[in-house]
Amino acid sequence: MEKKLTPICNKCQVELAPHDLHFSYLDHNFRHKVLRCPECGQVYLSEDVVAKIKRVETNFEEK
Amino acid sequence: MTDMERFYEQFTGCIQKEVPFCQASCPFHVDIFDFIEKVGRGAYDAAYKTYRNAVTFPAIVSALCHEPCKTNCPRKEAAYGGNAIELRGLERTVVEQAKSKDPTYYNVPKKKQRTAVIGAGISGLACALRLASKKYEVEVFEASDRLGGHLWNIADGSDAVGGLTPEIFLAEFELQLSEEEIPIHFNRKIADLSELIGDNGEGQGFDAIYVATGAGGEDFGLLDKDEPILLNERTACFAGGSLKGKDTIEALADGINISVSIETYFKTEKLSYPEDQRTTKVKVDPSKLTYKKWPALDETGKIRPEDVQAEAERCLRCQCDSCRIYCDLVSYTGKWPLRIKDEVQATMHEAQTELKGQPAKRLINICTHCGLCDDVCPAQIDMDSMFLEARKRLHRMGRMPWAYHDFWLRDMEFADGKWASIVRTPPGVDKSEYAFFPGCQMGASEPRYVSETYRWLLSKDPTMALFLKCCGTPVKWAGDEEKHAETIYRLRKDWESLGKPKLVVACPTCINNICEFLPEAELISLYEFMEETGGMKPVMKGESEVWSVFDPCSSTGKKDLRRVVRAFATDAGFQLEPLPVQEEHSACCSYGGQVSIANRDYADYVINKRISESDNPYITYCVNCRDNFLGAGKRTIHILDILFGFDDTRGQAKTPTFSQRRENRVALKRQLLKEFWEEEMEERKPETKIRLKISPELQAKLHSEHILEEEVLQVVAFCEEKGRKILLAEKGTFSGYRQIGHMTYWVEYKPVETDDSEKVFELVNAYCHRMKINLEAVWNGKKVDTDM
Repeated sequence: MEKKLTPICNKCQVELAPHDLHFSYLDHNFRHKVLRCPECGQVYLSEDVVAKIKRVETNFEEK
Repeated sequence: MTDMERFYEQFTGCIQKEVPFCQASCPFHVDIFDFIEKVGRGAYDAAYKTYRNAVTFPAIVSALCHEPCKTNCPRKEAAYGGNAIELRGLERTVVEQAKSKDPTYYNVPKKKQRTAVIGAGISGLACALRLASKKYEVEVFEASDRLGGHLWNIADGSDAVGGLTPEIFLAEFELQLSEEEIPIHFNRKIADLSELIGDNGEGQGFDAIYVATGAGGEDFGLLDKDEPILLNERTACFAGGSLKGKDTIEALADGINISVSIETYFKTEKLSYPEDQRTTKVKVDPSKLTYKKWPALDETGKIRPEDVQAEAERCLRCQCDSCRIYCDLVSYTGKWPLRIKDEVQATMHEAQTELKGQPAKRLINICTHCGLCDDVCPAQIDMDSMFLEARKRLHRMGRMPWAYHDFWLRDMEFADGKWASIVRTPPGVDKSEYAFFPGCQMGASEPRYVSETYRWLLSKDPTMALFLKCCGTPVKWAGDEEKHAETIYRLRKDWESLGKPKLVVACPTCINNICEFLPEAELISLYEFMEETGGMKPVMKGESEVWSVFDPCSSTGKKDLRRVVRAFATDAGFQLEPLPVQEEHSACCSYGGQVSIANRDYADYVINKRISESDNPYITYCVNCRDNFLGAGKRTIHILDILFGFDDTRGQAKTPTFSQRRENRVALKRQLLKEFWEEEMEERKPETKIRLKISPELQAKLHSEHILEEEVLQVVAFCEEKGRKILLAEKGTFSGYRQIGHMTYWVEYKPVETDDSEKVFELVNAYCHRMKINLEAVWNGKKVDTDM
């Protein structure tokens, strides 16, 4: 199978690597490992990851 | 009492938990919903258990019952079938057909209290069996040498006793008593209750005595007492059954009820006879009362096997469920009003901690405020106003999830802003007698609804002003009282600036809001104004096609408005067929309360319910109904389509996306200024030189996710200007994001080869989330805020 190419930070020209990202919504916080630029911290969230985040949003709205 | 408490109070009148008529009048209060449901699906064993749990001796009761259930059954009315539901017939079928009749053994710890039952008739045995199954120690003292008491006198096998014979009732006793060990002392006549109290030689005496000695039997002085008595300050004595003059069935029920009283005495020392409530306040919604023929019984009084299901289906399931029939929120969530109230109350509690949760935040935000609830509820419970008050309170407490209303508030801000709103008298006119108030959504849906209507109105009254603004309903629905007050303040100022004209209002929701918050402004609906003015000749022809007028929920109480819309449609040649639920029972198209972001699935449920009310295409006079129905594929036209002939598709027009709605508003204002005030409006251009190509499929996706194209463009421009983007080499695209307002938008895009100097990109994908990405700007101390 073809190896997936790692997303690259356009500014720093380095490959993104998993790192914690902190989120907050309606006074609730959570963190999740996502792809970020090790240099500048730029984040990449794919639509699949955002779909998961949306489920957390829904939970927070009911808390 | 707080505002919310006033609303909670009204739920004390809720009669949803009232039992059906048959169950109320049944001596055993058989759980009819449970029983009939099981019978209906042929689950006879399960139905038998339900029945036995209530009556204790099914074979005897189904034979002897005098059917008080039939007294108040609505089906006995000729108009609804002419015969009450044959519950006893069904019960007899169940007793005959059930395969598994073994009694249930309850594995519960043995209790220390002991009960003596005097008399092994049907009442005494029922009481003894009930207590024994709960593992109380029970002994029965019977003067004769057999079980059954007076049943021996009546069980002659005749039709009058349902064919009951001693063989049948003895077999029934054997079956039902088989799991419990109950010592029965035959030929043991109790002459004095003192025989049963104190130390009787076998340990302690009895803690309770049930005297069920039958008609004319020894009462030990209990019949003179209204309440049970205490002997020796410990042993409670009860009397019941035929001894108290009850017939067989009532005597049996009495034995069961007294077992409950005895257990209550054991647990709480409360000494009283059972209270037997035989009335109910239940009300059946008139829509359920339709005629259904009853299947005749066979010669033995049983329902024929092939008729069982039909008879079970004939049962109306009498309960007050008007809210579930009419209120979309109740039917969608499956929550009854009392539960809704509890959840709202828990959510509104001031001292709510983070840990406890606020279960009703979404629920509060999915009420469409159609106002049907108190109209259809026999107790007139107004959940609509409670939800509105709860929204205000959530907002005040800072607990309202901003996302539920943010999009609509931004939409309103745009509609009221410099690019879309107009508050002006015609050129040369200082003060207008009338002003046309189209509402903020009409021009967004179809600019001609506003421009052509205004042109027609000006032809009738050249001094007619144009008052193109939002009426403030979105902020009301968002529960933001402060912003609502500001909106109404500005609305009033604008109205005064036009010379306090009488308003000609197109949108029924605007009419409600203006009447409530700007009551000093006189108003008339656009369509009544058209009728009064005269000269309106519908352009579109109905060609005798059968259509239905869909009355928007905000048309409730507007009889003339509903009439005049029908008159115009009929005049155009449409044949109108009424919808099953309409006029004073109009429900919402899902737009009300701006619920679709709080719960999209619910909004779709509501839309589908509305468009399924009839196969006919709809004529409506609320532009939001029109857009929602068209969006769901229902043929729909607005009454203005009929009057001015805008819709060549005859109800299949394409509705604009949210982005196009903004463009429509801007274009409308430009056109109106040019045509009626001879002014040129400046171009509304994006602040960036970047241009974005978006495919129709992606436009539809952006629309469904409430993402505006101009927001997507802002994100791409930001990524390009700041260089903050990720290269997805695999696809040859860039990805980036930006938070705008509360929302975070993500774009995936790629450059497009173009000849000119303009930077053109193609949007590949876009999505958004409510969650805020924290500390991105200063991640790892390497960045400062200004770089973002």
